[in-house]
Amino acid sequence: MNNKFYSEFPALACNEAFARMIVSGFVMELDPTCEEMSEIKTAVSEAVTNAIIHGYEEKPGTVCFEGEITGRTVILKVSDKGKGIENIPLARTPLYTGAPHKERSGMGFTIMEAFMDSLEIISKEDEGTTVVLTKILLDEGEVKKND
Amino acid sequence: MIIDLSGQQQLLTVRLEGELDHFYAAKIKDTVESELVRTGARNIAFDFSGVTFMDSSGIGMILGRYKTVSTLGGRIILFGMSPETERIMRMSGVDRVAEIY
Repeated sequence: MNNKFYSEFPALACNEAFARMIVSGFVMELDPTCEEMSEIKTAVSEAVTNAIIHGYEEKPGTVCFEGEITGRTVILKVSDKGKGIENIPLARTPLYTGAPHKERSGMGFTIMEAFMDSLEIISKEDEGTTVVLTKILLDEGEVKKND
Repeated sequence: MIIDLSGQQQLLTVRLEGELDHFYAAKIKDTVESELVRTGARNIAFDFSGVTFMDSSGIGMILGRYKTVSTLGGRIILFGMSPETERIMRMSGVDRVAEIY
């Protein structure tokens, strides 16, 4: 493990941007491509938004956001102690949402899966959810070769 | 997030600037819905050229507006998207209900 961080913040929508800033600053040392940075920020934004909207149902709560870097591998975890997910495979189905009345697209997990190399969801009803996002960035040599 | 609105005949043009996430999607929804009622427009053109970030909350906002204009017999047009934003739009199938330029 080369570097890590741990953060906690209230489950407020304004902190979705804050989480994106945290992860941008954290992965910057690996000199990601613009696409890699965009993908990581978007996946994090989806995970934090899920914690706020679905985990805590926009009521008070604390979101934990932590990460670590080992080599070119970034592992990020977003956790809440909210409602939990009753049916994880259903929740991962594209376009499925547990909050249709809130104009949610149901694409959060689909985007996380598409933009990261792996997505793990650990959840227990009434105890909370942890989303683990992993991405292996291109080697700097590979990036230069592709330019 | 800056929301700039202009209306002409039955088209409401919404120019967005900044980051479009859950926090701002609700504000955009309220602003656009009010403006549709005020102007009587039934078509919406969203200008994304100033949008620097969007997650799936933006998709929900667009689909919500599509439901509104559909009941009015109108359409949604999206233009000026970055490749990242357009990728999310197409992943979500928004191109099946809105015209993307």
